[in-house]
Amino acid sequence: MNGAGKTTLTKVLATLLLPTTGTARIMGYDVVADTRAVRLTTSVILGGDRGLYNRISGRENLAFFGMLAGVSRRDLRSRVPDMLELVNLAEAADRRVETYSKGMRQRLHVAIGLLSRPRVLLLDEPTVGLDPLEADRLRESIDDLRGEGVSILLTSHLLLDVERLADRVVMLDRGRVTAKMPLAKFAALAGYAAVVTLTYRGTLGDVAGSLPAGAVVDRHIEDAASSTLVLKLREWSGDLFSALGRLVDDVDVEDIDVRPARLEEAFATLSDAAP
Amino acid sequence: MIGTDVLLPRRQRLWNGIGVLLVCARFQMAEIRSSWIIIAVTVFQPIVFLLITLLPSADRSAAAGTRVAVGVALSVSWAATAWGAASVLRRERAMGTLARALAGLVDARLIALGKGLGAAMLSNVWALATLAVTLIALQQPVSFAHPGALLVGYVVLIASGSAIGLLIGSVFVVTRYGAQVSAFLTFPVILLGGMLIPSNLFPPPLSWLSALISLRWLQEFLVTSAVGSPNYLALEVAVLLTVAYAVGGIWLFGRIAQKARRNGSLDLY
Repeated sequence: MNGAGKTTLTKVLATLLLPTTGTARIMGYDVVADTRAVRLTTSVILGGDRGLYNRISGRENLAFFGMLAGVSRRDLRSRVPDMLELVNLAEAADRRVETYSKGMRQRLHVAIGLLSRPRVLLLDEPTVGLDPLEADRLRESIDDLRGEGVSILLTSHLLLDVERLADRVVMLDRGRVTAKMPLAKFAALAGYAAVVTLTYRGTLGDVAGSLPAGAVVDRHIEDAASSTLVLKLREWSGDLFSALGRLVDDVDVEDIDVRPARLEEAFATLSDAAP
Repeated sequence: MIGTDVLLPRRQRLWNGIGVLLVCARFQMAEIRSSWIIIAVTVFQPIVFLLITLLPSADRSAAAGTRVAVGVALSVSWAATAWGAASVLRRERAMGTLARALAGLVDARLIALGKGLGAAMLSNVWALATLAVTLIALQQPVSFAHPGALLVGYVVLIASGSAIGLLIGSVFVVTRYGAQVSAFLTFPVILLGGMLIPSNLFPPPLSWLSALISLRWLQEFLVTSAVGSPNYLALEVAVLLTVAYAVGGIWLFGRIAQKARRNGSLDLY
């Protein structure tokens, strides 16, 4: 949520801010006492329109920031073209950054963050402001990094990012950790595994009485033209499938929509439970 | 997995440091070469200064022309420093690039110094080129009695501009009124540096203040190198003041960077 302290946390871990109290460690290195070691292992991508030199090219920006990250000149020669290729900026590499779109700038930020081959990558709201295609391409790039063994701390209030990329979820509220758990456990906090929406013509009769204990009627509207039944399923089971089959035997089914529980619903449950 | 060179021997680190300095200078030149204020200060200003000082003058000798040309060159150099080198950090903050400089593995002071050097080099080369073209157009003769000494003087001038840039620029980072401070500083320093009024005409308290400005000593060294016997004592004082500016700038920049990390007071992003 806004104002929770996500960006502040990222800045503290990136050694840009000193913590007012407490300690923070990355790979065992203290962000205050072992600043250099933290910077050696970590890279931060804060994204946005700023943080780039507008009057020079993307390639020059990449080489410059690579140098600041301690990448040797020899490595820069090979890695800069690779990174530009990876983020799909090879064709625009020699254009001034002031001509780049927001998505291109964001991808250049990602290339800068990855150039030093960090062991830990800090990402602050990486897909904010990107169109769906750009955002999806970026998520794929980040997902590939996980496969390469890079540890990623992604801060976002866009739960689609979390759903697609996270293994573990940490919730912050006003600078404090209010929850931390694996993604699957977090998703389960919604209280159900899936939502089934049935659209039909006819009359179902006693719905609640014909369903097993794992299914709860969320909404049921019967109308002469078209009726809707929304069920929340705590977990899938053979009994449940059979019961659903029996339930719709006598009606004319127009549509059945089944979707897993959303993280937003888990988030809402957790937020409601918070003091 | 990590491509860094932090464990290199001292000599190699020194070369790397010089490399960083030059790369930063090159990037700064590329970044500001189309800035309108730098063009105004290094192209239009010297033309105007030369025209208003040379055209009404009855003395168009080479010695008089040299004194005027050196005074204009130093005035422009200082104005360019106030608007270019000293604004490096302010510009970096405005663009959101200062944070990466502070969080990188390269010493941020080296980056700031390198960028100040780039701004000073670009400004001085443009100003000199403008002066040369204008003097030729006005058919004004000038002296080059000791070209080697003049070159040394110019190198010290550029170094001095970079050092002053770092010193003042560090202050600019913590104020939102950097542009106004630049404008305020420009002419008092030109006056106190003896570029418009000979420094021996100053009353005693102002003479002391004037003695702390490296441009005053560089003016003396450059004029004597151009028209007669170089005053190396003036050069030594200018070098000492430049070193003092650089030490002060490096110290101040370090303090301000640390303060920014502690307070989160800089608009880093």
